[in-house]
Amino acid sequence: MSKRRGYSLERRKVTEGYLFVSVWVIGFLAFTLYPLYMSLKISMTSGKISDILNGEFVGLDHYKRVLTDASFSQVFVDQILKSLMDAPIISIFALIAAVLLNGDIVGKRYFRAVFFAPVIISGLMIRILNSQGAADFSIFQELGSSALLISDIIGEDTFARMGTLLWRSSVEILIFLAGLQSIPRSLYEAAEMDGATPWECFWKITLPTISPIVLLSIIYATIDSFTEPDNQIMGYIRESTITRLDFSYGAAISWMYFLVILLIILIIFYVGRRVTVNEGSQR
Amino acid sequence: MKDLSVKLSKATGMLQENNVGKRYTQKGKNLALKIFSYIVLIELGFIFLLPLLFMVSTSTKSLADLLDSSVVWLPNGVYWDNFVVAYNNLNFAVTLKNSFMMAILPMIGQVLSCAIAGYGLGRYQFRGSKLIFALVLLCLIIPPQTIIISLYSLFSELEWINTYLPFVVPAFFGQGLRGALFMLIFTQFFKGLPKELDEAARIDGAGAIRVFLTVMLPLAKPAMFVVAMFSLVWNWNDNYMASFFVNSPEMRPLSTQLDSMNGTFNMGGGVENGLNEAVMMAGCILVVLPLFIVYILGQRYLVEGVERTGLAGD
Repeated sequence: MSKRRGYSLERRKVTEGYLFVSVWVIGFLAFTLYPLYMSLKISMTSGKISDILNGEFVGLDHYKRVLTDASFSQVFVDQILKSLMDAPIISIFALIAAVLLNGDIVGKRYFRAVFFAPVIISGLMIRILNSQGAADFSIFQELGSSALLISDIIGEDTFARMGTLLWRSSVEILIFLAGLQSIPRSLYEAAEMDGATPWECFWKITLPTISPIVLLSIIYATIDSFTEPDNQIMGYIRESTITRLDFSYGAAISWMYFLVILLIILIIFYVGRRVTVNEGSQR
Repeated sequence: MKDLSVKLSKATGMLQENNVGKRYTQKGKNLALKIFSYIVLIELGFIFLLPLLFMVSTSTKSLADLLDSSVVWLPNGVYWDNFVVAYNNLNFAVTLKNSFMMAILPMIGQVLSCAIAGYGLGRYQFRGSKLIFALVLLCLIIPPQTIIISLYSLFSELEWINTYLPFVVPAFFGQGLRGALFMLIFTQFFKGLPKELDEAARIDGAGAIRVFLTVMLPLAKPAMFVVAMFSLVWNWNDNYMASFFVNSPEMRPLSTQLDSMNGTFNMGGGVENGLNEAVMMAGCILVVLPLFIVYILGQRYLVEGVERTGLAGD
Protein backbone atom coordinates (compact mmCIF):
# COMPACT_ATOMS: atom_id res chain seq x y z
CA MET A 1 0.00 0.00 0.00
CA SER A 2 2.58 2.48 1.13
CA LYS A 3 4.80 1.43 -1.73
CA ARG A 4 2.06 2.12 -4.26
CA ARG A 5 1.43 5.49 -2.71
CA GLY A 6 5.10 6.33 -2.92
CA TYR A 7 5.14 5.33 -6.54
CA SER A 8 2.15 7.47 -7.38
CA LEU A 9 3.63 10.40 -5.48
CA GLU A 10 6.78 10.00 -7.52
CA ARG A 11 4.66 9.91 -10.66
CA ARG A 12 2.76 12.99 -9.63
CA LYS A 13 6.00 14.84 -9.00
CA VAL A 14 7.25 13.99 -12.45
CA THR A 15 4.02 15.27 -14.01
CA GLU A 16 4.26 18.45 -11.98
CA GLY A 17 7.83 18.95 -13.12
CA TYR A 18 6.79 18.55 -16.73
CA LEU A 19 3.93 21.01 -16.25
CA PHE A 20 6.15 23.71 -14.79
CA VAL A 21 8.81 23.32 -17.46
CA SER A 22 6.29 23.05 -20.30
CA VAL A 23 5.87 26.83 -20.26
CA TRP A 24 9.40 27.15 -21.52
CA VAL A 25 9.35 24.09 -23.74
CA ILE A 26 6.30 25.32 -25.68
CA GLY A 27 7.97 28.68 -26.20
CA PHE A 28 11.20 26.99 -27.22
CA LEU A 29 9.48 24.81 -29.81
CA ALA A 30 7.42 27.65 -31.29
CA PHE A 31 9.76 30.62 -31.14
CA THR A 32 13.23 29.10 -31.26
CA LEU A 33 13.39 25.56 -32.60
CA TYR A 34 10.83 26.03 -35.38
CA PRO A 35 12.43 29.27 -36.65
CA LEU A 36 15.83 27.61 -36.37
CA TYR A 37 14.63 24.73 -38.53
CA MET A 38 13.01 27.13 -41.00
CA SER A 39 16.20 29.11 -41.37
CA LEU A 40 18.11 25.88 -42.00
CA LYS A 41 15.56 25.11 -44.69
CA ILE A 42 15.87 28.60 -46.18
CA SER A 43 19.64 28.20 -46.26
CA MET A 44 19.32 25.03 -48.31
CA THR A 45 16.75 26.28 -50.78
CA SER A 46 16.57 29.06 -53.32
CA GLY A 47 13.37 30.89 -52.58
CA LYS A 48 11.94 34.06 -54.03
CA ILE A 49 11.27 37.03 -51.77
CA SER A 50 7.55 36.53 -52.14
CA ASP A 51 7.75 32.94 -50.99
CA ILE A 52 11.03 32.35 -49.19
CA LEU A 53 9.89 29.27 -47.34
CA ASN A 54 9.05 27.10 -50.35
CA GLY A 55 12.06 27.45 -52.57
CA GLU A 56 13.74 24.79 -54.65
CA PHE A 57 16.11 22.54 -52.71
CA VAL A 58 19.72 23.27 -53.62
CA GLY A 59 21.56 21.48 -50.82
CA LEU A 60 24.76 23.08 -49.64
CA ASP A 61 25.18 25.45 -52.61
CA HIS A 62 24.77 28.58 -50.52
CA TYR A 63 27.26 27.31 -47.99
CA LYS A 64 29.77 26.78 -50.79
CA ARG A 65 29.14 30.35 -51.91
CA VAL A 66 29.82 31.57 -48.36
CA LEU A 67 33.08 29.65 -48.17
CA THR A 68 34.35 31.13 -51.44
CA ASP A 69 33.29 34.68 -50.54
CA ALA A 70 36.59 36.45 -49.89
CA SER A 71 35.09 39.62 -48.42
CA PHE A 72 33.07 37.58 -45.96
CA SER A 73 35.97 35.45 -44.78
CA GLN A 74 37.85 38.66 -44.06
CA VAL A 75 35.00 40.01 -41.92
CA PHE A 76 34.52 36.61 -40.34
CA VAL A 77 38.12 36.07 -39.20
CA ASP A 78 38.34 39.70 -38.10
CA GLN A 79 35.28 39.52 -35.91
CA ILE A 80 36.10 36.15 -34.37
CA LEU A 81 39.57 37.34 -33.37
CA LYS A 82 38.08 40.53 -32.00
CA SER A 83 35.51 38.69 -29.92
CA LEU A 84 38.11 36.26 -28.58
CA MET A 85 40.28 39.22 -27.65
CA ASP A 86 37.51 41.20 -26.00
CA ALA A 87 36.28 38.51 -23.63
CA PRO A 88 39.46 38.12 -21.53
CA ILE A 89 40.04 41.89 -21.44
CA ILE A 90 36.51 42.53 -20.23
CA SER A 91 36.85 39.75 -17.67
CA ILE A 92 40.16 41.06 -16.31
CA PHE A 93 38.77 44.56 -15.95
CA ALA A 94 35.64 43.22 -14.33
CA LEU A 95 37.67 41.11 -11.91
CA ILE A 96 39.83 44.06 -10.86
CA ALA A 97 36.79 46.27 -10.43
CA ALA A 98 34.90 43.60 -8.48
CA VAL A 99 37.82 42.91 -6.12
CA LEU A 100 38.16 46.63 -5.42
CA LEU A 101 34.42 47.05 -4.93
CA ASN A 102 34.33 44.07 -2.60
CA GLY A 103 37.00 45.44 -0.27
CA ASP A 104 36.48 47.56 2.82
CA ILE A 105 36.00 50.93 1.23
CA VAL A 106 34.16 54.06 2.23
CA GLY A 107 31.16 54.76 0.03
CA LYS A 108 30.96 51.23 -1.32
CA ARG A 109 27.33 51.71 -2.32
CA TYR A 110 28.06 54.79 -4.39
CA PHE A 111 30.99 53.19 -6.13
CA ARG A 112 28.88 50.19 -6.99
CA ALA A 113 26.09 52.35 -8.34
CA VAL A 114 28.62 54.09 -10.58
CA PHE A 115 30.18 50.87 -11.85
CA PHE A 116 26.90 49.33 -12.94
CA ALA A 117 25.58 52.50 -14.51
CA PRO A 118 26.72 51.59 -18.05
CA VAL A 119 24.25 48.67 -17.92
CA ILE A 120 21.49 51.07 -18.89
CA ILE A 121 23.32 52.39 -21.93
CA SER A 122 22.50 50.60 -25.15
CA GLY A 123 24.88 49.49 -27.89
CA LEU A 124 23.33 52.09 -30.15
CA MET A 125 24.11 54.87 -27.69
CA ILE A 126 27.67 53.63 -27.34
CA ARG A 127 27.91 53.80 -31.12
CA ILE A 128 26.63 57.38 -31.15
CA LEU A 129 28.99 58.29 -28.30
CA ASN A 130 31.87 56.70 -30.21
CA SER A 131 31.09 58.70 -33.31
CA GLN A 132 31.39 61.83 -31.19
CA GLY A 133 34.72 60.69 -29.80
CA ALA A 134 33.54 60.11 -26.25
CA ALA A 135 35.15 56.68 -26.03
CA ASP A 136 38.46 57.88 -27.36
CA PHE A 137 40.62 57.75 -24.26
CA SER A 138 43.94 59.29 -25.06
CA ILE A 139 45.48 57.43 -22.09
CA PHE A 140 44.79 54.13 -23.73
CA GLN A 141 45.88 55.40 -27.10
CA GLU A 142 49.19 56.55 -25.66
CA LEU A 143 49.69 53.23 -23.95
CA GLY A 144 48.98 51.65 -27.31
CA SER A 145 51.77 53.51 -29.08
CA SER A 146 54.33 53.42 -26.27
CA ALA A 147 53.84 49.90 -24.99
CA LEU A 148 54.60 48.50 -28.41
CA LEU A 149 54.93 44.93 -27.28
CA ILE A 150 51.46 44.78 -25.76
CA SER A 151 49.89 46.60 -28.65
CA ASP A 152 51.56 44.18 -31.03
CA ILE A 153 50.01 41.29 -29.18
CA ILE A 154 46.49 42.58 -28.79
CA GLY A 155 46.45 45.10 -31.64
CA GLU A 156 46.30 48.91 -31.70
CA ASP A 157 42.66 48.66 -32.50
CA THR A 158 41.82 47.00 -29.20
CA PHE A 159 43.33 49.92 -27.32
CA ALA A 160 41.12 52.30 -29.20
CA ARG A 161 38.10 50.26 -28.16
CA MET A 162 39.14 50.00 -24.54
CA GLY A 163 36.58 52.52 -23.35
CA THR A 164 33.79 50.65 -25.06
CA LEU A 165 35.00 47.39 -23.55
CA LEU A 166 34.94 48.91 -20.08
CA TRP A 167 31.40 50.12 -20.53
CA ARG A 168 30.37 46.65 -21.56
CA SER A 169 31.82 44.96 -18.48
CA SER A 170 29.10 45.82 -15.98
CA VAL A 171 27.33 42.47 -16.06
CA GLU A 172 30.66 40.68 -15.62
CA ILE A 173 31.41 42.86 -12.58
CA LEU A 174 28.10 41.74 -11.11
CA ILE A 175 28.96 38.11 -11.79
CA PHE A 176 32.35 38.48 -10.10
CA LEU A 177 30.91 40.34 -7.11
CA ALA A 178 28.45 37.54 -6.57
CA GLY A 179 31.29 35.03 -6.79
CA LEU A 180 33.49 36.97 -4.36
CA GLN A 181 30.67 37.00 -1.82
CA SER A 182 30.64 33.22 -1.80
CA ILE A 183 34.25 32.92 -0.58
CA PRO A 184 34.15 32.22 3.18
CA ARG A 185 35.67 35.06 5.19
CA SER A 186 37.42 32.60 7.48
CA LEU A 187 39.86 31.79 4.68
CA TYR A 188 41.06 35.37 4.58
CA GLU A 189 41.14 35.67 8.35
CA ALA A 190 43.27 32.57 8.60
CA ALA A 191 45.62 33.81 5.91
CA GLU A 192 45.92 37.20 7.57
CA MET A 193 46.89 35.52 10.82
CA ASP A 194 49.65 33.80 8.94
CA GLY A 195 50.84 37.20 7.80
CA ALA A 196 49.68 37.01 4.22
CA THR A 197 49.44 40.34 2.41
CA PRO A 198 46.27 41.27 0.53
CA TRP A 199 48.27 40.76 -2.63
CA GLU A 200 49.10 37.17 -1.65
CA CYS A 201 45.53 36.62 -0.53
CA PHE A 202 44.33 37.58 -3.99
CA TRP A 203 46.60 35.13 -5.81
CA LYS A 204 46.41 32.27 -3.32
CA ILE A 205 42.79 32.47 -2.17
CA THR A 206 40.61 34.70 -4.31
CA LEU A 207 41.74 33.66 -7.75
CA PRO A 208 41.78 29.88 -7.24
CA THR A 209 38.42 29.94 -5.46
CA ILE A 210 36.65 31.95 -8.11
CA SER A 211 38.38 30.37 -11.09
CA PRO A 212 35.07 28.79 -12.19
CA ILE A 213 33.57 32.28 -12.12
CA VAL A 214 36.37 33.54 -14.33
CA LEU A 215 35.42 30.85 -16.82
CA LEU A 216 31.74 31.81 -16.54
CA SER A 217 32.58 35.44 -17.12
CA ILE A 218 34.76 34.70 -20.14
CA ILE A 219 32.03 32.52 -21.64
CA TYR A 220 29.40 35.17 -20.97
CA ALA A 221 31.56 37.92 -22.48
CA THR A 222 32.34 35.77 -25.52
CA ILE A 223 28.68 34.99 -26.15
CA ASP A 224 27.78 38.62 -25.61
CA SER A 225 30.34 39.75 -28.11
CA PHE A 226 29.38 37.10 -30.68
CA THR A 227 25.64 37.72 -30.54
CA GLU A 228 25.70 41.49 -30.28
CA PRO A 229 23.68 42.97 -33.16
CA ASP A 230 26.32 45.63 -33.71
CA ASN A 231 29.19 43.31 -34.59
CA GLN A 232 30.56 43.01 -38.10
CA ILE A 233 29.25 39.56 -38.97
CA MET A 234 25.83 40.53 -37.77
CA GLY A 235 26.07 43.61 -39.97
CA TYR A 236 27.11 41.46 -42.92
CA ILE A 237 24.18 39.09 -42.45
CA ARG A 238 21.86 42.04 -42.13
CA GLU A 239 23.20 43.60 -45.31
CA SER A 240 22.81 40.44 -47.35
CA THR A 241 19.26 39.86 -46.17
CA ILE A 242 17.80 43.35 -45.94
CA THR A 243 19.75 45.26 -48.55
CA ARG A 244 20.44 42.55 -51.11
CA LEU A 245 17.37 40.46 -50.20
CA ASP A 246 19.49 37.34 -50.51
CA PHE A 247 17.73 35.46 -47.73
CA SER A 248 19.19 32.05 -48.45
CA TYR A 249 22.71 33.40 -48.40
CA GLY A 250 22.07 35.28 -45.16
CA ALA A 251 20.57 32.17 -43.60
CA ALA A 252 23.55 30.07 -44.68
CA ILE A 253 25.97 32.58 -43.14
CA SER A 254 24.01 32.79 -39.93
CA TRP A 255 23.87 29.00 -39.59
CA MET A 256 27.58 28.64 -40.14
CA TYR A 257 28.19 31.42 -37.68
CA PHE A 258 25.99 29.70 -35.11
CA LEU A 259 27.90 26.44 -35.49
CA VAL A 260 31.25 28.21 -35.20
CA ILE A 261 30.12 29.97 -32.01
CA LEU A 262 28.93 26.66 -30.61
CA LEU A 263 32.29 25.07 -31.37
CA ILE A 264 34.29 27.94 -29.87
CA ILE A 265 32.20 28.02 -26.71
CA LEU A 266 32.57 24.26 -26.29
CA ILE A 267 36.34 24.54 -26.69
CA ILE A 268 36.54 27.38 -24.16
CA PHE A 269 34.34 25.39 -21.80
CA TYR A 270 36.38 22.19 -21.97
CA VAL A 271 39.77 23.88 -21.83
CA GLY A 272 38.54 26.18 -19.06
CA ARG A 273 37.04 23.33 -17.06
CA ARG A 274 40.35 21.51 -17.16
CA VAL A 275 42.21 24.51 -15.82
CA THR A 276 39.73 25.39 -13.10
CA VAL A 277 39.25 21.82 -11.94
CA ASN A 278 42.99 21.38 -11.61
CA GLU A 279 43.30 24.49 -9.49
CA GLY A 280 40.42 23.29 -7.40
CA SER A 281 42.06 19.98 -6.57
CA GLN A 282 45.35 21.65 -5.68
CA ARG A 283 43.66 23.52 -2.91
CA MET B 1 37.93 21.03 9.19
CA LYS B 2 37.62 24.73 8.69
CA ASP B 3 37.59 25.43 12.43
CA LEU B 4 40.74 23.42 12.80
CA SER B 5 42.55 25.39 10.17
CA VAL B 6 41.40 28.64 11.74
CA LYS B 7 42.70 27.49 15.11
CA LEU B 8 45.98 26.41 13.63
CA SER B 9 46.49 29.70 11.90
CA LYS B 10 45.55 31.54 15.07
CA ALA B 11 48.29 29.64 16.85
CA THR B 12 50.85 30.45 14.22
CA GLY B 13 49.63 34.04 14.26
CA MET B 14 50.43 34.21 17.95
CA LEU B 15 53.90 32.92 17.29
CA GLN B 16 54.43 35.67 14.79
CA GLU B 17 53.10 38.31 17.15
CA ASN B 18 56.67 38.93 18.39
CA ASN B 19 57.67 40.04 15.01
CA VAL B 20 56.50 43.60 15.65
CA GLY B 21 58.73 45.38 13.19
CA LYS B 22 57.49 43.28 10.34
CA ARG B 23 53.94 44.10 11.32
CA TYR B 24 54.55 47.84 11.09
CA THR B 25 55.94 47.71 7.59
CA GLN B 26 53.02 45.47 6.81
CA LYS B 27 50.64 48.19 7.97
CA GLY B 28 52.41 50.80 5.89
CA LYS B 29 52.15 48.60 2.85
CA ASN B 30 48.47 48.02 3.47
CA LEU B 31 47.86 51.74 3.69
CA ALA B 32 49.66 52.32 0.41
CA LEU B 33 47.61 49.57 -1.16
CA LYS B 34 44.43 51.15 0.17
CA ILE B 35 45.29 54.57 -1.24
CA PHE B 36 46.22 52.99 -4.52
CA SER B 37 42.93 51.13 -4.72
CA TYR B 38 40.97 54.32 -4.01
CA ILE B 39 42.79 56.04 -6.85
CA VAL B 40 42.03 53.17 -9.23
CA LEU B 41 38.40 53.08 -8.08
CA ILE B 42 37.90 56.79 -8.62
CA GLU B 43 39.54 56.73 -12.02
CA LEU B 44 37.65 53.67 -13.17
CA GLY B 45 34.50 55.20 -11.73
CA PHE B 46 35.08 58.27 -13.83
CA ILE B 47 35.45 56.15 -16.96
CA PHE B 48 32.25 54.30 -16.12
CA LEU B 49 30.38 57.55 -15.60
CA LEU B 50 31.88 59.11 -18.69
CA PRO B 51 29.12 58.14 -21.13
CA LEU B 52 26.47 59.71 -18.92
CA LEU B 53 28.57 62.78 -18.13
CA PHE B 54 29.39 63.24 -21.78
CA MET B 55 25.71 63.01 -22.70
CA VAL B 56 24.67 65.56 -20.10
CA SER B 57 27.46 67.96 -20.91
CA THR B 58 27.10 67.81 -24.69
CA SER B 59 23.32 67.89 -24.68
CA THR B 60 23.25 71.33 -23.10
CA LYS B 61 25.62 72.92 -25.60
CA SER B 62 24.39 75.53 -28.03
CA LEU B 63 25.68 75.47 -31.59
CA ALA B 64 28.24 78.12 -30.70
CA ASP B 65 29.51 75.99 -27.82
CA LEU B 66 29.78 72.96 -30.08
CA LEU B 67 31.93 74.86 -32.55
CA ASP B 68 34.02 76.52 -29.87
CA SER B 69 36.90 74.15 -29.16
CA SER B 70 37.66 75.88 -25.85
CA VAL B 71 34.37 74.54 -24.49
CA VAL B 72 35.01 70.94 -23.54
CA TRP B 73 32.92 69.99 -20.51
CA LEU B 74 31.16 73.10 -19.24
CA PRO B 75 29.07 74.93 -21.82
CA ASN B 76 28.21 78.62 -21.48
CA GLY B 77 24.78 78.11 -19.99
CA VAL B 78 22.22 75.42 -20.63
CA TYR B 79 20.66 75.38 -24.06
CA TRP B 80 17.31 73.69 -23.49
CA ASP B 81 16.22 73.95 -27.10
CA ASN B 82 18.25 70.82 -27.86
CA PHE B 83 15.79 68.82 -25.81
CA VAL B 84 12.83 70.33 -27.62
CA VAL B 85 14.31 69.45 -31.01
CA ALA B 86 15.20 65.95 -29.80
CA TYR B 87 11.72 65.54 -28.33
CA ASN B 88 10.13 66.38 -31.67
CA ASN B 89 12.53 64.26 -33.70
CA LEU B 90 11.98 61.31 -31.42
CA ASN B 91 8.22 61.71 -31.71
CA PHE B 92 8.54 61.27 -27.97
CA ALA B 93 4.93 61.04 -26.80
CA VAL B 94 4.18 58.18 -29.21
CA THR B 95 7.49 56.31 -29.04
CA LEU B 96 7.64 56.51 -25.24
CA LYS B 97 4.30 54.73 -24.98
CA ASN B 98 5.51 52.07 -27.42
CA SER B 99 8.72 51.60 -25.49
CA PHE B 100 6.76 51.13 -22.28
CA MET B 101 4.57 48.49 -23.87
CA MET B 102 7.48 46.73 -25.54
CA ALA B 103 9.61 46.69 -22.41
CA ILE B 104 7.26 46.33 -19.45
CA LEU B 105 4.98 43.63 -20.87
CA PRO B 106 7.89 41.41 -21.95
CA MET B 107 9.52 42.05 -18.59
CA ILE B 108 6.45 40.77 -16.74
CA GLY B 109 6.23 37.84 -19.13
CA GLN B 110 9.87 36.85 -18.75
CA VAL B 111 9.86 37.13 -14.96
CA LEU B 112 6.72 34.99 -14.64
CA SER B 113 7.44 32.34 -17.24
CA CYS B 114 11.12 31.96 -16.38
CA ALA B 115 10.29 31.73 -12.66
CA ILE B 116 7.73 29.00 -13.32
CA ALA B 117 9.84 27.00 -15.74
CA GLY B 118 13.04 27.61 -13.81
CA TYR B 119 11.33 26.24 -10.73
CA GLY B 120 10.34 23.11 -12.61
CA LEU B 121 13.83 22.64 -13.99
CA GLY B 122 15.64 23.49 -10.78
CA ARG B 123 13.57 21.52 -8.27
CA TYR B 124 12.16 18.54 -10.12
CA GLN B 125 13.98 15.60 -11.56
CA PHE B 126 12.39 13.86 -14.48
CA ARG B 127 13.38 12.14 -17.64
CA GLY B 128 14.67 14.74 -20.09
CA SER B 129 15.38 17.41 -17.51
CA LYS B 130 19.06 17.26 -18.37
CA LEU B 131 18.23 17.56 -22.06
CA ILE B 132 16.07 20.60 -21.40
CA PHE B 133 18.84 22.18 -19.37
CA ALA B 134 21.23 21.59 -22.27
CA LEU B 135 18.70 23.18 -24.63
CA VAL B 136 18.49 26.25 -22.40
CA LEU B 137 22.27 26.56 -22.59
CA LEU B 138 22.13 26.10 -26.36
CA CYS B 139 19.58 28.91 -26.62
CA LEU B 140 22.07 31.25 -24.98
CA ILE B 141 24.38 31.09 -27.94
CA ILE B 142 21.95 31.20 -30.85
CA PRO B 143 22.68 34.48 -32.61
CA PRO B 144 19.43 36.42 -33.08
CA GLN B 145 20.24 36.72 -36.79
CA THR B 146 19.92 33.01 -37.33
CA ILE B 147 16.24 32.97 -36.50
CA ILE B 148 15.06 36.49 -37.15
CA ILE B 149 14.04 36.01 -40.79
CA SER B 150 12.00 32.91 -40.04
CA LEU B 151 10.53 34.62 -37.01
CA TYR B 152 9.55 37.50 -39.24
CA SER B 153 7.77 35.22 -41.67
CA LEU B 154 6.12 33.38 -38.77
CA PHE B 155 4.85 36.62 -37.27
CA SER B 156 3.71 38.01 -40.59
CA GLU B 157 1.73 34.82 -41.18
CA LEU B 158 0.12 35.33 -37.78
CA GLU B 159 -0.41 39.00 -38.73
CA TRP B 160 1.51 40.15 -35.68
CA ILE B 161 3.75 42.58 -37.54
CA ASN B 162 3.26 46.16 -36.32
CA THR B 163 1.72 45.00 -33.06
CA TYR B 164 3.22 44.44 -29.62
CA LEU B 165 2.61 40.70 -29.86
CA PRO B 166 6.02 39.62 -31.29
CA PHE B 167 7.62 41.05 -28.16
CA VAL B 168 5.02 40.00 -25.62
CA VAL B 169 3.94 36.47 -26.55
CA PRO B 170 7.39 34.83 -26.77
CA ALA B 171 8.31 36.53 -23.50
CA PHE B 172 5.39 34.86 -21.73
CA PHE B 173 6.80 31.52 -22.86
CA GLY B 174 10.29 32.11 -21.53
CA GLN B 175 11.75 33.23 -24.85
CA GLY B 176 12.32 36.74 -26.08
CA LEU B 177 15.43 38.78 -25.50
CA ARG B 178 17.95 36.64 -23.53
CA GLY B 179 15.14 34.52 -22.15
CA ALA B 180 17.57 31.63 -21.81
CA LEU B 181 19.79 33.63 -19.47
CA PHE B 182 16.83 34.44 -17.24
CA MET B 183 15.81 30.80 -17.30
CA LEU B 184 19.31 29.90 -16.17
CA ILE B 185 19.27 32.45 -13.34
CA PHE B 186 16.00 31.07 -11.94
CA THR B 187 17.01 27.44 -12.40
CA GLN B 188 20.26 27.98 -10.52
CA PHE B 189 18.49 29.97 -7.83
CA PHE B 190 15.85 27.33 -7.12
CA LYS B 191 18.45 24.58 -7.26
CA GLY B 192 20.34 26.33 -4.49
CA LEU B 193 17.43 26.43 -2.02
CA PRO B 194 17.45 23.75 0.70
CA LYS B 195 15.40 20.66 -0.05
CA GLU B 196 13.57 20.71 3.29
CA LEU B 197 11.69 23.82 2.27
CA ASP B 198 9.12 22.32 -0.01
CA GLU B 199 9.14 18.96 1.76
CA ALA B 200 7.94 20.66 4.93
CA ALA B 201 5.18 22.42 3.07
CA ARG B 202 4.30 19.17 1.31
CA ILE B 203 3.91 17.35 4.58
CA ASP B 204 1.56 20.11 5.68
CA GLY B 205 -0.55 19.09 2.71
CA ALA B 206 0.12 21.94 0.31
CA GLY B 207 -0.13 21.17 -3.41
CA ALA B 208 2.57 21.94 -5.94
CA ILE B 209 1.07 25.23 -7.04
CA ARG B 210 0.57 26.39 -3.48
CA VAL B 211 4.13 25.49 -2.54
CA PHE B 212 5.36 27.42 -5.54
CA LEU B 213 3.22 30.50 -4.89
CA THR B 214 3.44 30.72 -1.11
CA VAL B 215 6.85 29.28 -0.30
CA MET B 216 9.08 29.50 -3.33
CA LEU B 217 8.07 32.68 -5.08
CA PRO B 218 8.45 34.92 -2.01
CA LEU B 219 11.94 33.49 -1.51
CA ALA B 220 12.78 34.16 -5.14
CA LYS B 221 12.35 37.92 -4.81
CA PRO B 222 16.04 38.72 -5.33
CA ALA B 223 16.18 36.59 -8.46
CA MET B 224 12.95 38.14 -9.72
CA PHE B 225 14.35 41.59 -9.13
CA VAL B 226 17.56 40.88 -11.03
CA VAL B 227 15.70 39.34 -13.96
CA ALA B 228 13.14 42.17 -14.02
CA MET B 229 15.84 44.80 -14.05
CA PHE B 230 17.88 43.23 -16.83
CA SER B 231 14.82 42.32 -18.86
CA LEU B 232 13.51 45.87 -18.64
CA VAL B 233 16.82 47.43 -19.59
CA TRP B 234 17.55 45.07 -22.50
CA ASN B 235 14.05 45.15 -23.92
CA TRP B 236 13.94 48.91 -23.64
CA ASN B 237 17.25 49.33 -25.41
CA ASP B 238 16.78 46.68 -28.07
CA ASN B 239 16.34 48.11 -31.50
CA TYR B 240 17.30 45.03 -33.46
CA MET B 241 14.10 43.02 -33.07
CA ALA B 242 12.01 46.17 -33.11
CA SER B 243 13.52 47.24 -36.42
CA PHE B 244 12.22 44.01 -37.93
CA PHE B 245 8.85 43.56 -36.30
CA VAL B 246 7.45 47.08 -36.37
CA ASN B 247 7.90 49.40 -39.29
CA SER B 248 5.08 51.92 -39.10
CA PRO B 249 6.19 55.18 -37.42
CA GLU B 250 3.38 55.15 -34.86
CA MET B 251 4.43 51.70 -33.58
CA ARG B 252 8.15 52.40 -33.24
CA PRO B 253 9.79 52.37 -29.81
CA LEU B 254 12.28 55.01 -28.69
CA SER B 255 15.33 52.89 -29.50
CA THR B 256 14.38 52.45 -33.18
CA GLN B 257 13.46 56.09 -33.52
CA LEU B 258 16.80 57.09 -32.03
CA ASP B 259 18.50 54.79 -34.53
CA SER B 260 16.70 56.38 -37.46
CA MET B 261 17.44 59.82 -36.04
CA ASN B 262 21.12 58.82 -35.94
CA GLY B 263 20.83 57.59 -39.51
CA THR B 264 19.38 60.91 -40.68
CA PHE B 265 22.11 62.76 -38.84
CA ASN B 266 24.91 60.63 -40.31
CA MET B 267 23.54 60.89 -43.84
CA GLY B 268 23.89 64.64 -43.57
CA GLY B 269 20.15 65.23 -43.43
CA GLY B 270 20.48 66.76 -40.01
CA VAL B 271 20.35 70.42 -40.94
CA GLU B 272 16.73 70.69 -41.98
CA ASN B 273 15.67 68.68 -38.91
CA GLY B 274 17.80 70.85 -36.64
CA LEU B 275 20.01 67.90 -35.65
CA ASN B 276 23.53 68.29 -34.34
CA GLU B 277 25.78 66.48 -31.88
CA ALA B 278 24.14 68.20 -28.94
CA VAL B 279 20.66 67.23 -30.08
CA MET B 280 21.77 63.62 -30.58
CA MET B 281 23.00 63.54 -26.98
CA ALA B 282 19.78 65.15 -25.80
CA GLY B 283 17.96 62.38 -27.64
CA CYS B 284 20.10 59.74 -25.90
CA ILE B 285 19.25 61.31 -22.55
CA LEU B 286 15.53 61.31 -23.28
CA VAL B 287 15.72 57.62 -24.22
CA VAL B 288 17.79 56.57 -21.23
CA LEU B 289 16.12 58.81 -18.63
CA PRO B 290 13.30 56.42 -17.63
CA LEU B 291 15.85 53.63 -17.21
CA PHE B 292 18.09 55.94 -15.24
CA ILE B 293 15.29 56.69 -12.79
CA VAL B 294 14.52 52.99 -12.38
CA TYR B 295 18.22 52.30 -11.94
CA ILE B 296 18.70 54.95 -9.25
CA LEU B 297 15.74 53.55 -7.33
CA GLY B 298 16.74 49.94 -7.73
CA GLN B 299 20.52 49.68 -7.97
CA ARG B 300 20.89 48.78 -4.29
CA TYR B 301 18.63 45.77 -4.69
CA LEU B 302 20.39 44.81 -7.89
CA VAL B 303 23.66 44.06 -6.14
CA GLU B 304 21.98 42.37 -3.20
CA GLY B 305 19.87 40.41 -5.65
CA VAL B 306 22.81 39.19 -7.68
CA GLU B 307 24.65 38.25 -4.51
CA ARG B 308 21.74 36.15 -3.35
CA THR B 309 20.63 34.61 -6.63
CA GLY B 310 23.70 32.49 -6.98
CA LEU B 311 24.08 33.89 -10.49
CA ALA B 312 27.66 32.83 -10.12
CA GLY B 313 26.83 29.54 -8.40
CA ASP B 314 28.34 26.36 -9.76
